[in-house]
Amino acid sequence: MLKLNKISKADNKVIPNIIMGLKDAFPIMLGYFSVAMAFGLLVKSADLYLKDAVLFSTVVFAGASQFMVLNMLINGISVLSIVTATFLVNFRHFIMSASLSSRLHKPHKWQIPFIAFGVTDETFSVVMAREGSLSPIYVMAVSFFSYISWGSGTIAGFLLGTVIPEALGDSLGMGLYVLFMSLLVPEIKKAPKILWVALTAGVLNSVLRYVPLIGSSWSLVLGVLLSALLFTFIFPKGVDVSNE
Amino acid sequence: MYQMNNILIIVLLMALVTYIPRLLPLVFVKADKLPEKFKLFLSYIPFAVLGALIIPDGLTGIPDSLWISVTVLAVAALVSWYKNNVILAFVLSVAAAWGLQSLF
Repeated sequence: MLKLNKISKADNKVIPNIIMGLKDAFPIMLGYFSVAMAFGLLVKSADLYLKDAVLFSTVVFAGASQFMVLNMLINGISVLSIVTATFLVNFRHFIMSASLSSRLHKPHKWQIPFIAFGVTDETFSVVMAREGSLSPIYVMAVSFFSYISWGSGTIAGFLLGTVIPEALGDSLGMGLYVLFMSLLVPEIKKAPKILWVALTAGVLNSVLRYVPLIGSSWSLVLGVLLSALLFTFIFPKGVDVSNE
Repeated sequence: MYQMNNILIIVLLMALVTYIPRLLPLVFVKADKLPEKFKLFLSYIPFAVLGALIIPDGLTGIPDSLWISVTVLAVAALVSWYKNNVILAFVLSVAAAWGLQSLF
């Protein structure tokens, strides 16, 4: 995928960036469609309506929190708790937006709200695997196609129910972790120190979630921040040669 | 159970607390005005994010089967090491995931 990055980083041509975005979004689309189907199905089994499912997926657009909230709704948890938990679970996007912002190539004012809306674990990871500065159009395209897939998967899941065999659905959902792995490994091959950055964050995330008051949403945020901070001092020369 | 307008209010509040953290850094962090040290820190974020997304949750990506999940991730890692091709890694790993689940 990365090898085909022939479009110059400063190039803001619309069509090539959209095509590149579609291509890069493709694995996300497959994974999102099946995970969103599971979500649509769950909404239905919670006796809610199709429009509720669509509202969640198109207005919030944040997978993990949608599943969590659905569970909370079923258990009759208060609105305040639901909103607080959502904030905590999705706060990691704050860090991703900051990192993304430092790589964006001269975004227009009107593009910022759209780029912000589209920041997810998957879209962020995919666009940041590109080298150099990023065309806002490209970033928006990756998010747009992922968003469409998330929305349509939700509707399909609600309407079709269990048409996709569970094993295939799980496998496609697993595909999102496969995607993360296939973005990470080539970077490690280029610069082995990246392994330590990723591993440290992963281990911290695994350990910190068992610390009282931290839990799994803060553990991810803390793991990422602490690892990045630590390696800013351990490897002060950086790893990404293309990132001027 | 829940009224439609309840759901609407919940969705809107969720959207608000999700969107604001996504938006603020893009409004206030400007690529050309950052100290080098902070840029370096931000450049490590994507790798740390990938690590923290894979470990530990990816290890249970296939619900209730640690070994299949780990095998699938290993397939993905191996394929990506030799061929830098996300689609290929995706297809082979998902096929492995499906095959292993069907067999065991």
